[in-house]
Amino acid sequence: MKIVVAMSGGVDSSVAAYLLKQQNHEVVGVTLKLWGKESDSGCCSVSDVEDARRVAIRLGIDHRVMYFADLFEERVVEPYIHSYEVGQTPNPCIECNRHIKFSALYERVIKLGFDALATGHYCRTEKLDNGYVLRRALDKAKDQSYVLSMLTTDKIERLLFPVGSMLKTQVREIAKEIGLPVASKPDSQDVCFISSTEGRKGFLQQRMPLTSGTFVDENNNILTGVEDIELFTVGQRFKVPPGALGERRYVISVNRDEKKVVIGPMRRLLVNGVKLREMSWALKIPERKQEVFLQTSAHGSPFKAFYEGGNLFIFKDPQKRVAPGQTVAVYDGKDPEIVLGSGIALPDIVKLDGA
Amino acid sequence: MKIAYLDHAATSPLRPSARKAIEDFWSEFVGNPTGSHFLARKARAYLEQSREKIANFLGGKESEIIFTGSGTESDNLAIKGYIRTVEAGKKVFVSAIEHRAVLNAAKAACEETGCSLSLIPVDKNGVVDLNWINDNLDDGVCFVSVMAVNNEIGTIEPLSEIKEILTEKAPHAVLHTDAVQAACWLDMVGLWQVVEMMSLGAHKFGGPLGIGVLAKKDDVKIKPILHGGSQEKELRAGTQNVAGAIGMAEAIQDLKSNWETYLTTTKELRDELTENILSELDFAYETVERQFKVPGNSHILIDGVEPEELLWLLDESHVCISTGSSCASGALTPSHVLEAIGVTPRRNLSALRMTLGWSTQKEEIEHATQAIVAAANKLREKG
Repeated sequence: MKIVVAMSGGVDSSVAAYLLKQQNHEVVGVTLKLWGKESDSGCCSVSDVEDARRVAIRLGIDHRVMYFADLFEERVVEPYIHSYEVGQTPNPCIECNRHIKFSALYERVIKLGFDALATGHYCRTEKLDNGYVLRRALDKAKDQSYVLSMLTTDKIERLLFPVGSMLKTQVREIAKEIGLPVASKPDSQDVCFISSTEGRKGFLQQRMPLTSGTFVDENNNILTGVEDIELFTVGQRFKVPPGALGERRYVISVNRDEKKVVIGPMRRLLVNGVKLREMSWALKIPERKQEVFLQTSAHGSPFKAFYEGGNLFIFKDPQKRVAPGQTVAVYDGKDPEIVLGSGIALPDIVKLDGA
Repeated sequence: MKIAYLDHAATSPLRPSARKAIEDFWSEFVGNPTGSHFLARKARAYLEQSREKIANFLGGKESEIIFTGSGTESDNLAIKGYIRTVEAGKKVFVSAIEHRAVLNAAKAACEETGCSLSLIPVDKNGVVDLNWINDNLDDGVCFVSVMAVNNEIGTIEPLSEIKEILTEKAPHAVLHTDAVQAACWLDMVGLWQVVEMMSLGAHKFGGPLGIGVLAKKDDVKIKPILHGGSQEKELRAGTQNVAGAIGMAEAIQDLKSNWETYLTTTKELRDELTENILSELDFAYETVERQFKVPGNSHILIDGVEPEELLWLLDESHVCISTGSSCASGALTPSHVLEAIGVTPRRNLSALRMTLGWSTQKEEIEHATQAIVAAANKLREKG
């Protein structure tokens, strides 16, 4: 097959390219130029492109760079900033997957006559009777199906994730064995367009005013002042003197207009369900009352819920409210490794009577 | 598969005569041209002979020729070298469509010395606005740099007219021209009469990579940007690239030998290429009017096609052209030249630069035409 491998310059995508070349596919490595406008640090900098190029040369494959920086700014960076402005929790990696990697890049790859797009994500694909779905990676600790949960059958059919059925340790072994220049390069952890020196606060400060306000408890008593309420997320642990009962406190809500962050115990965070927007289903919409598993963060534990039709899910047991803007990945109730689809949490608080 | 190489403005193949001259030089050992013994003097002789040939090409004197490592280095030497001699508060003008070497060297030099930098606007054909120069020029302007030929769109700039205005309004200002793209096409003797400094780069006209020239009138004082030994009259330290100088001089001799014919033939090939593509693609347009351009440059805009995708398909057909301008990572970035002439950058607007040179054959034109038309049609229907 003719395959494009998206190469970030990191170990996973490098080994993915190697594995495909070993299988005698016609492989071309592509690195995306997404950022690097002002500070060329973070991911996809010139040095990352150089890393990817060196790996490609070592593997004997052609390497190209594709420019998507303007689209990235429009569909990933600006919405990221906007989310904070409206008190939501953005997930830029998911937006990048949605609009850039598995949209603009994917479409271009097919247009240019390639058979498939491959990446170094930890995830697997599976062919069912009626189409293609994603299955969690073999290495559960590295599973990235959550950030890929927006993908649908027509795209999954032409995607390859060569390292998805391997353990991370195996991947690093291979990289070392074949002497890849990036074998011991550490995994990138942060948002790729925010440099480790400036941090999230530094990045946002330059682009929007951060509001100072107060932390208050459920009775509106002021607990302490805060400089940047936008940086707090619903459900986050609040680490200041414990409340009267000595129990843990969490962010219950963030109100930019009133300049308040309400803090309270876990029970104030518990809700019975979630409503989603921008839902996508890999194959088909679930049946009403179908049992599913929901995962609400990249490494969160999935929990049981029921699909109520439309955009509503009711949890089997009360759970922490999902922060608005957070992606909710939906997994099959019978085979919880299979991704059914995903959506983005709305701010609606879903409580059942008597709850 | 055959290759169609239409990127001479980026670099051109080494002329056989230049190659032979360099190989002959490499087969004998000579010393360092700065030294004193007979072998060193032999090297010196080769260097000076090359200098003489280049001086003749410009109708100038040997004392006016400084060897550098590239056209970019020549630009840097001219610009930083001159601006560093003036006092703070002076003004510098460069055209809005200069090569990055000129723009960035000028920015750096002005920041360093406390001078101000202004960009001379251009019209939709890339020609500098002479009225703007006339209106804004005064004795506070110490340095003006306008390229002789633009590397992207091929526009020829009116250096004589600029000089006239300077003589009247800012007689003390120094006029520099980046002539790196001009050597094949213009009357270089006439050009040298008009400017005070001129940058040349050998690899654009069939000479080797790694050698350039800054031509400088004797009465213009500049500071060196490389310090060390006293080579090139203390203006460019470092052992000279004798092989490069020989290759450059030889390429120039070759260029001169059939110049008139070369101009005519190239123009015909360029016109054929441009017209054939435009007649097949009704969503393609010529960027700049041909009367303002050098004969070797064809530049078109193709609507509804993304440049990276076009380049990809042309790669498969072994057609080498340039779209937009490139950056350090290898991706394509929008062009400041196109923006300056009023072309708004868009994702699905491809700018194609096809530049011909001494080695261009008719077959390459035909091959490229076919490939470009096929690729553009394919991408446009899928787009």
